[in-house]
Amino acid sequence: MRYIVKFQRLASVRFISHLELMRCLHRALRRSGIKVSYTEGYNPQIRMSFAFAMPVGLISYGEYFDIRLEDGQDGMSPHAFTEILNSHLPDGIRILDCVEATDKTPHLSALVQYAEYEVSYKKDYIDAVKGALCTFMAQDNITVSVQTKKGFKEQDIKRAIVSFDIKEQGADYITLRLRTAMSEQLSVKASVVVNEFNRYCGFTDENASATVRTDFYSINDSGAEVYPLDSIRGTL
Amino acid sequence: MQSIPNNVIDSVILSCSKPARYAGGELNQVIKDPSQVSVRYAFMFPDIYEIGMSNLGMRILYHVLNLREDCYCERFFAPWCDMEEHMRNKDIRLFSVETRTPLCEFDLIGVTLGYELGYTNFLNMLSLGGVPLFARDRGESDPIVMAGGTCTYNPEPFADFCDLILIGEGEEEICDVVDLFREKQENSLTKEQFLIKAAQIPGVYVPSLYNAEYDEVTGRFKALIPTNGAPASVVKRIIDDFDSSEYPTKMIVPYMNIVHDRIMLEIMRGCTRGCRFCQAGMIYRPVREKSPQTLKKLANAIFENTGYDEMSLTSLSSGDYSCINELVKDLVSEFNPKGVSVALPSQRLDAFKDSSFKDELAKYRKTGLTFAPEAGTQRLRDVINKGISYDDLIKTCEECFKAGWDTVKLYFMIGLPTETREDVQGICDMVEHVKSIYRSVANRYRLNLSIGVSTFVPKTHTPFQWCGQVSQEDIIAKQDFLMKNIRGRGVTLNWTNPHTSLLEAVFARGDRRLSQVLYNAHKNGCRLDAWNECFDFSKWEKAFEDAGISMKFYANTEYSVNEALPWDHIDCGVSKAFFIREYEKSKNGVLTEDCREGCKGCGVDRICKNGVCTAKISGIVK
Repeated sequence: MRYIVKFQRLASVRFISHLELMRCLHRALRRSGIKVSYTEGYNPQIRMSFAFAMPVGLISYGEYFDIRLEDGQDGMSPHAFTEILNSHLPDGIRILDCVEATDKTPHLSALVQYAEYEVSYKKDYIDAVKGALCTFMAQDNITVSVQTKKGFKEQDIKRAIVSFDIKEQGADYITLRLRTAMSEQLSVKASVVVNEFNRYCGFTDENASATVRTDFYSINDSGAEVYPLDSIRGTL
Repeated sequence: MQSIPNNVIDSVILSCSKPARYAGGELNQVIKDPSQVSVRYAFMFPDIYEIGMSNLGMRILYHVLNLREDCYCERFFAPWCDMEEHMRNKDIRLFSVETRTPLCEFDLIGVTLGYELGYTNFLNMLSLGGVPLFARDRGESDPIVMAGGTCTYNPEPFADFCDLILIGEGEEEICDVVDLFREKQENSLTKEQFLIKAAQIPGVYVPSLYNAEYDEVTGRFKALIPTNGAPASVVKRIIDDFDSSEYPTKMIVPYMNIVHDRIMLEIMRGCTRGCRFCQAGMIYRPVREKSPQTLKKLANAIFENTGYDEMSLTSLSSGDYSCINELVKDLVSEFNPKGVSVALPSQRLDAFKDSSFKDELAKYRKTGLTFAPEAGTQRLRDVINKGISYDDLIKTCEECFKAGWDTVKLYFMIGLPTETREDVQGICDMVEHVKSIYRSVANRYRLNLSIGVSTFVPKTHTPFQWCGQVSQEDIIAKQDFLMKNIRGRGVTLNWTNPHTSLLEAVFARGDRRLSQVLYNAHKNGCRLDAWNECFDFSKWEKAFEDAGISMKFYANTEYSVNEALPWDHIDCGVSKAFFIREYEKSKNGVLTEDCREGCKGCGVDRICKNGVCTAKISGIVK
């Protein structure tokens, strides 16, 4: 059986790396007694894969992994899987949704082409943010020095930004919505966009904004935006 | 309260390497409401998170203390250099992992000292936490600082920084101290009154109640004089009923990769082999085992609470456990199907080759095998009473390689008493022989042979406690020789820095005058000395120079068996007479058998219940 699982990672666990998160999930699965499928060979590993490595420090409400369970587990419906695993997860990690994949279901990376974030600012920053957002996005290009394995590289991050607009505003906060491309050819880290925007606004405090990832999505054949698990349910 | 807001600390943590070290939030960590407890206890491990979380003693005491409703025990680890710099720049006090409370706000601080180079970390952490370093500088409102761990078998070098030192097994002793502290709170005793009473608790040593005297002419230690009714000698604490003693089942599961990232089952304490260089084998006597039923219960409970994929049966010599074969067989058959492999730490070569458990261990996800021949020739092995034969090594390696193991670690020491060139050559010969056995027995060449050579440091409470460490020149020459002669495909040689070995030797057999050196070293910026990137020997040299003390005086001096020793007031159970007998026997390479074959009169029965050795009662020793 192959399940695609959506989970969240909150503040209490944000400091761990992707590898540490994986091992944490492995141990939770072992505690739960759910019969997961292992690879063959001298060093058996759980058959589980992630779409992306989660950056350290990011809080997210929509992350995904793909897992294979041993066949013949009657009663291990996606719902049961979610309930059982959740009861063994530490604070801060929670399974939100789960769907059984079929042979027709594409690879996870095809379902997560774009990422969506919420960037929040407190009262003092509201006016500056509102004033700068349009002009920031109206620029032809936004060139930033991005650190790669080989050193620093100039990158035009505007190409990878799908949209960056106001989602919600209250009396003492403002929340922006940022959508970026997340494919192999074109992608950008949310932190890079936000840091550059903050610099553009003249903010010096590194705690000016708080960014969380809300979900991933892709564009289906009809051109509509679909969230990963909805996309799978649609093709069933 | 920490005056720095949480989100600032969060961003500091995020900017450091391996943020998970400081983040907390791990599965099974204990969270209590600090306002609902009477005693706040800071458990300090004087190294970084990855090392501290691998320490079994810390896990046990954390569990024991948090079982008490009146007490909340939180963890403290040494910050890495980048975090330390942030802390000093931004005025962030060293804080606990659980609630981020600064160290100076705790009632009791307990540090576990297992390695001499951790002493500067201990001082650095006190300093970062806002606690005065010297005991004499701490007042009524400062925390009470206590030390435990194996280094307490010579506590004198760090005694001036501690209010109390707990000798022996802490599970029950620590509760006695906390009980007395509650009494102090309820009856408003002064610190001095508390300390005088604490000295009466079995196993507790209160350094401030003792005055050290030195010979005016030679500068050698003369005596330690107790005052205020403190006992002349402090006898270590032992747990009588080891099988039913408190053992944590809800073990904290760290997020990050720590050194020992697995279920640790302590199967046994103490050792009957009597290797003459080994302090642990002496100070953990008498031998006590946990029953297989208890162990299986614990294994199940710990697995259910953690989900680890590896289990280790730890003790000083697990191959000696009475029913090791059955235990391993049962655990393997129960846990392998759950995705958990079973491993044993370093094995005695003679126990391993005759075991059936090696086949069991081979079944699932073999890790590697570790053995410690220690010396390169039979003569020297007999001197140190590590009575394994050349045959043992050969047969064992043969069986391992045949069974499919490719990864083998062998540990040796240089600088052992009476060592000659032949003995060092013997190490090279053994390595060559192991390589040739592999080639002849295995039909593959995936050999991963790792040779670890450390430098002998004479330790207190061993038959070699009177010996001096060999000179630096000698060590370097021998390491050079080994480097030239141990090589080949799949063979790696690791050795220890001669400077760190020198410092270990100084502090292992030092006296109270060294506290000034430790203080100087701390002021010079020494910390994290066990890490290559942080260790700076020149700072240590300056620290000794400024204190007017010579390293060689402590490291290389040979004591006479009639002399008073700075650690005589600590009674580890085994008698001095036994150590002297063993020392004499070593000079002629005479072996002392395993006491499972018959009691050798080490004297530990003196401190056991009713004067009978616990190992005799349980039938481990005849």
